[in-house]
Amino acid sequence: MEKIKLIDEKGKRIDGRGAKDLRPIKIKVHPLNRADGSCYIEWGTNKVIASVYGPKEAQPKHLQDPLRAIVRCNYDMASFSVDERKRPGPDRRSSEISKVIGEALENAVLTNLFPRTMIEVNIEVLEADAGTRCTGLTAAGIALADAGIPMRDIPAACAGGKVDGKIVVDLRKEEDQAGDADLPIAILPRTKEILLMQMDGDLSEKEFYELLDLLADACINISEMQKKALLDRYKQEEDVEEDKETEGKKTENKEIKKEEEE
Amino acid sequence: MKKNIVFPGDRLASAEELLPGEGTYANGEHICAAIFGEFETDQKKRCASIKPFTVLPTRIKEGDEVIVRAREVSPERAFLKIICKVEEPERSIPHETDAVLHISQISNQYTTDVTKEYHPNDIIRAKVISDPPSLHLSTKGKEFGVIKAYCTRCRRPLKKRNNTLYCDECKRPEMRKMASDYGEGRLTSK
Amino acid sequence: MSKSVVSAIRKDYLYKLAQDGKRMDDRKFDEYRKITIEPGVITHAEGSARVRLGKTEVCAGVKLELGEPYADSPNSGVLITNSELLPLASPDFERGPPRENAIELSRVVDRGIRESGMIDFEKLCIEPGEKVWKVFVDLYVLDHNGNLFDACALAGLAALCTAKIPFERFGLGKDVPLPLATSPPISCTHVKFNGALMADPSLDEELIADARLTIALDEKSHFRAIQKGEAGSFTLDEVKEITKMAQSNVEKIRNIFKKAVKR
Repeated sequence: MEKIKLIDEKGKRIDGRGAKDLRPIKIKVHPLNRADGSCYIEWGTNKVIASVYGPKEAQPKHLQDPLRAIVRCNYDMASFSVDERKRPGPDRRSSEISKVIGEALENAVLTNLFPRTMIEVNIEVLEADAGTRCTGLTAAGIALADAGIPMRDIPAACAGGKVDGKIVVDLRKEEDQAGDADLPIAILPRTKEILLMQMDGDLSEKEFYELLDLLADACINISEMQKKALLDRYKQEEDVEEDKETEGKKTENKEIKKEEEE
Repeated sequence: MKKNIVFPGDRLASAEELLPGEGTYANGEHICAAIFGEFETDQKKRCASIKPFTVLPTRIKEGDEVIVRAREVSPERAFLKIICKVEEPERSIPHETDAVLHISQISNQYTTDVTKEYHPNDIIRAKVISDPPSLHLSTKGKEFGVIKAYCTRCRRPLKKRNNTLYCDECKRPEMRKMASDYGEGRLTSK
Repeated sequence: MSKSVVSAIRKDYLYKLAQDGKRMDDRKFDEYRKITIEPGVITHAEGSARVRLGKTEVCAGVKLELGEPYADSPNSGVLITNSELLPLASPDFERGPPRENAIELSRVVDRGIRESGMIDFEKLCIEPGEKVWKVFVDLYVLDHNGNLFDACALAGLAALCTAKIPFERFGLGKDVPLPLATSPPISCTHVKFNGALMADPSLDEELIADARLTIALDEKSHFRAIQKGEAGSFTLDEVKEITKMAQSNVEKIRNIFKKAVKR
């Protein structure tokens, strides 16, 4: 098969994006009724739904940690999420991804507040087009916040890689398949602590650090989208209630925040 | 009208300035938000807290109404398991759910023996009168007491007749400290 | 454990309401919750639909693959229906291989499709005895608030109605719509508790139900699939009453279905 050109002379990718551009992202907070917290994301063609239950008593009991909560993740891909039907149910790939996402999220949650419990995070990929673990983790971060689970920060994730010898952010399927490297990461946007990092392919040291920088910036963008989605959901509820509160001590707090940032 | 809306991780104040309250955590020199909500300061207590915009994990505290199931009953006290908080029956309780009901807290009347008021497996509406980790309950007041109980002989649900409970199968009455709405199937007393 | 206790308490409440002819969400006994059908939501699937029945939500996807026919029907395509009770949808669902409930659900939906004659299986044969299309209908339950039977059946049907045969993906020419012969039977589920009969049970009603009856009726109002579930029983008169309820609901649901799935 002839190798298709994934980046043109002007540096544009097959969907017209530049190297640092993300695919369009749409986020809906709390789409599910039953779960304690939930989030639906459309990220390019990826469609992922995440739900959170808990904290609840950890089962089976031997998993209980007397000092803190554990985070269990179930990442699963729907059979029809990819071109060739995937056999339903867990497999080795989904088990591995569940493990690394669970560990990444556990780092963000203030687990010491809920000893002996388990926080269950479920991620269902309804449609897949590269980058589903990052989409899932980003959705799970919002679902955790929606469930009111205390966290150090809302984790955000994004993948990047090398395509036609160039470093690019947020690979789509064609780029992922034909590209030279794939590097998904998840970070805490404020501190840029890395919670998840996997890589395959071939990157020079320079390329690796360059890509990490781009991905950190991308995650910060995503983080803003996460916050906006939460805010939109809250505003909807606010409109219904329409309670009018008096002008608060907002201004002074804002000043404190500014000082802190400097 | 504008509120100081914060997200998990937002720095709220320095740790010297305020104490970390509900929904916040101390991170070195800073007090940070742990949940999504509105930042509030209690100037008197010098405490930073967050009024949540989402539902938080359930926390049982003093003053809460809960549904409990009796596990063991002795003459002085009943040992119970908290099933749920009446307002949030769906959300699991992320901490210890064992609770104690002392003879002095059964009702406003004088109680001689707890085993005459409650039996194992009774489902009871109670009020929490102490903060965790040790949860103490009270069923004083007409809205508190058994809301569903089973015949100690045949295990069938007891029916309310006039002011006592009665088993249609065994054709005999049983005594309980009842909530006024026994058998109506409501979790809340209101 | 907490779930069963809460359900035991609610039982008294639902019984009492039912005696006054009421339900917890103010519906009439024969009234369905709001149904929304959104077809074609998954581009990677050959056909797909997201169905909401009140607060219950199901996503169905159809995939086609080439495979061998069964020895006893060498000229027919194959239908495989599978449902996944995702841990996402309820705190009671666990990850892992399907349990009894999921298998019953899959099989009831499967019968509704298979026995209806809706899919023209002969047209799914490429080489008799050698190569036929296998049609996979996968039902993913996203939010469980009662009556998965009807929600899954509708989602499965809607997904099939939007499905194409993916000739292109297999390098066999242009995609064509899946050949569907008739308008599908619509299934209606009912429960009975304390002698009261109700259509489209909510989760609370389902949990305390003594018995459950699902009836699928076609356009001529013929019975096309039936499933009775749970340990309780129905009298013949009760079955007749349920049939009457189903007949009037099927019409309404069919209209909603047809509007959503223009084919």
